[in-house]
Amino acid sequence: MWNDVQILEALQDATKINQALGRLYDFHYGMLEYFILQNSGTESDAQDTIQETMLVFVTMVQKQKYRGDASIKSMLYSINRNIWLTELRRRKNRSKRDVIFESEKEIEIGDYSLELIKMEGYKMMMELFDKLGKGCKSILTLFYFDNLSMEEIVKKEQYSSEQVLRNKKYKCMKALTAKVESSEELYEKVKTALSHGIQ
Amino acid sequence: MEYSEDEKLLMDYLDGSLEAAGVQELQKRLLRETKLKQKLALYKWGMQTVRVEAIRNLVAQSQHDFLKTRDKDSQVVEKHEPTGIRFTPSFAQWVGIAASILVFVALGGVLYLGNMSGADLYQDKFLSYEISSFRGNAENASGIQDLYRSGDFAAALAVVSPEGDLESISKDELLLLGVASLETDKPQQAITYLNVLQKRNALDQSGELQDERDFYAALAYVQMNNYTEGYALMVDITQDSAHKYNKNFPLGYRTKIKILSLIK
Repeated sequence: MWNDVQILEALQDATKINQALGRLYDFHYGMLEYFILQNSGTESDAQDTIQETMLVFVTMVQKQKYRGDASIKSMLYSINRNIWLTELRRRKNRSKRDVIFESEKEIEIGDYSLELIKMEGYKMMMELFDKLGKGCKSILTLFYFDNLSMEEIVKKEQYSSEQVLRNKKYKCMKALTAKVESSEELYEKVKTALSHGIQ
Repeated sequence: MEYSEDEKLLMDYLDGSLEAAGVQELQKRLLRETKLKQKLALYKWGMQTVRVEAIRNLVAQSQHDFLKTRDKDSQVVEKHEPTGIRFTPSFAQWVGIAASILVFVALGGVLYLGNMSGADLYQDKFLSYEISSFRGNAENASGIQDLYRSGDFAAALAVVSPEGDLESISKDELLLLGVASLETDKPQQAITYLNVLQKRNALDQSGELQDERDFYAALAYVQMNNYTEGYALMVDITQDSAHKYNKNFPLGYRTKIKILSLIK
């Protein structure tokens, strides 16, 4: 049986993150799904909302924005509820949203509203990232997420030298940022969402 | 896609591969060159996007695996359901079948509830008490508050003894000690602290933190399998429309507790 501390540690360890995610789903999916189903949502709504809840939560853990101040269960419940309220608002289902607000307001916890705003910016940028070539996506992920060294990536991806890999990585990153800069409107939207300071 | 020397410099800076002199020089330029600063932010967003995208893929895969396993489990259950019962019962038979089902369901319910533990029912409704929403703040927080805030419940409890003199302990701290006791599976100790808080409120007629006290005391009783006391508190909480935790014990849950209070 995993406790909250063990799950949090595993979420920050690339070799254990899959196991930790499995535990999060085993322990909490039912509760999160129940909330959506009880508040005008379908199973499909629940799947989308829970996926985003988990994404926001794990991102917060990895960015050290959540250190177990509230229990994982309470935190997930709260994020899930907020995302679903935003979705209901988007669907202009105001009356139902107010009902939830009134009955559940006492369990509001933490302030992760900035994280939810930033997630909107990341979603825009992730669409652009998805358009990069397979090689670029692989290099950037191995370097920035898996934290592999240039030497390790050279071996893994069979590049001829570290310098060749380094140049390729510069180009990939430039390609991603150039896509954002290519549209002033997009750039402004991303900037608005993400300019609260990333660390 | 070609990149400029400045862009290369910024990426090296963010990757931590720029030498010290280069870092100093770049930081000076960042103070006066707005465009360079904007470019730096853009690359930071790019790096973070790569990380978030990787997490998104892992989450999607985990969710896919979880739902697949869950669907498979539910299909296994469906396969074992009896099929093809082909007879048309008379009215009397229907009444008999309905009565049998009711008896079966009732017995099953009692057996099911009989097997439930207070710990499970407690876990189902327990919510962490958030010190961030507490009236106290970091500047004037006591040792107990600090330890509670850091999640070190055992250390918070070690500050005082439940058998000792609790006169100097504030109401805020009594509540935190009560919740910390619950967090560390000591419901009896939680009741001790929460009851002292209750007595103080009765003396000064303030009702301070009373809603929180009621909620956590109800859960402590449930965890101790003292369903009679737990149920009584839940009824009080539910009947008071102004109670903060008015919606936290829905009818189905209260019914379970009531039945358990009768059979255990």
